[in-house]
Amino acid sequence: MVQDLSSPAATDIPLSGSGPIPADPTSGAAADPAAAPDARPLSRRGLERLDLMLLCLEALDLNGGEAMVWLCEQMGYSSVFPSRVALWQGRCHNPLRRTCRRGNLDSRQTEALIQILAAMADRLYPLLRSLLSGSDPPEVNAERWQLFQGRLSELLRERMNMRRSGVHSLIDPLQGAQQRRALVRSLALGAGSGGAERLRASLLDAAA
Amino acid sequence: MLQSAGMKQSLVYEQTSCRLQVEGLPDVSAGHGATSIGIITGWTLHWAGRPDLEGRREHLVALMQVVFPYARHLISDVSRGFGGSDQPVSINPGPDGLHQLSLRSSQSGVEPLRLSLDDAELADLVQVLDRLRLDQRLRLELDLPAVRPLRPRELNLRVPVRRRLAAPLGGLAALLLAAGVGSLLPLPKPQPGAAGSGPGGTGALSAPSGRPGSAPGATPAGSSDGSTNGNSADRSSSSNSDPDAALIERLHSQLHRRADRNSLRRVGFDQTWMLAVNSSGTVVAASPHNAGTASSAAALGLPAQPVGAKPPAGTTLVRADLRSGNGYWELAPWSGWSRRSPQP
Repeated sequence: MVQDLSSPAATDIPLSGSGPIPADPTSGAAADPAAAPDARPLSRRGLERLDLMLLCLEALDLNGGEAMVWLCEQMGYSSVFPSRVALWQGRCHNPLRRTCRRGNLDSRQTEALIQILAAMADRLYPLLRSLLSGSDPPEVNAERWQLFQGRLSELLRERMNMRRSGVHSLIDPLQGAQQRRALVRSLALGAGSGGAERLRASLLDAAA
Repeated sequence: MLQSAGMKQSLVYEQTSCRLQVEGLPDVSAGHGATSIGIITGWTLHWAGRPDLEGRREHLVALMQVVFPYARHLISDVSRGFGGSDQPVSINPGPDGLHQLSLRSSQSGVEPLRLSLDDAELADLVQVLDRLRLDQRLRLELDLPAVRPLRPRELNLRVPVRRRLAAPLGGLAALLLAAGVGSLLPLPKPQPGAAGSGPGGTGALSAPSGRPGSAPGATPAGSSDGSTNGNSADRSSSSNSDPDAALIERLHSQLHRRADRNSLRRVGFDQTWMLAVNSSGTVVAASPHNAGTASSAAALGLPAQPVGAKPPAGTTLVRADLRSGNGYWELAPWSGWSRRSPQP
């Protein structure tokens, strides 16, 4: 007898180290979904990359900001980021931001943002894949990249400190092309449950 | 997707460009459920437009062991290959941003299969392998490398070799250029009239003294200390000009003959003399500083006539130190008595 059961979707599988975890019957309390497997704080470069990747997802999805807030609630991170303002404040630790907050994210906030990033990347995986695909006609692919680059540049001008050379290089159509492709590729390879581990390890790389 | 035929189970994972199907059986001895896979009997990877891949458990594990670390390093923008030529699967960065996946058959005589994947196909492969790895129905221990942050040395790989070597090579070139320019600069010439007393019985004028006939600029003062070295506190130099080199040579030749041992034995101690020397190098007059007798002068071959308050005309005053132990003379321009030294 052949049973044809659809495999559980990626979002149904609990993300490693996070997601709504059922209450522990022995303790009688819900486990902390944002219990970070690695409590090290992110480096300056890690904070920059985390925020830039979230920005890329917002450039791909016009409702990306709302989706981020919704995912935050769905994944049980309301205690970490109670509101969209708190989520925005967490992202403002990026040194490249126009209004940058001092200090660093704590481990729970870092883990929450990484899991949200992986979940959003998984949700927008088809768009990421279409940007990276080499089998499509070059004109179509170029148009997609141009659209993405335009939206990303608008977001960068709106939120980032334009005096930083890193922001300028990202906005530049020619100079930033390789960097933008690297960000999109990182998102595609970091999508889903297993991708969160890779993203976390990458963001914790030694400060170069 | 799960398919089962009897106890045989099949897990299927699909993405845009590839479809992974894993077949196996539950390990009843380990207490696996009927829908679990504890023993992999085979797997097949269907590629769009490419030959299908299939193999056993170890081939699937080898594929995951190279693809996952490769993807992890790519997220950090480090392009590095994984898997050697002796392993069934290897992946390396290829030209034009592609990724070269090499698969070697365990059967002899079969050429390795090489696939060029773009970023999208690689991402699809990573997705299906991820879903297999995290599927709770797969009850297998997969020996996969741990995911960890990269160290600074590993991150250097993302910097091109040229840029990495530019700074140290540039510094080395600058150092060599500075050394080359410095070697072309002329060296300062050593100052003439360096002092020194050497073996051979002759001393040398240690410092410039007055020319022949110059007045000794000495202004002897009253007190005496009997110092043979004549290190006076306020010695006034007799002359600032260099002595005649020929005069020095002639004086050396005259004093060169060593005093005989009997004479030295009679003298018995180091002596300092003020000599008045004429232009031919002959000692015209001699006054002892710490030895007071004319017999000392005769024993040393010096004239008995003292120098006097006024040195003879046409003569140069020279200080001569005799080392009685070896009979050597050390000559220096006369620069006067010290305040505490007795006047001749």
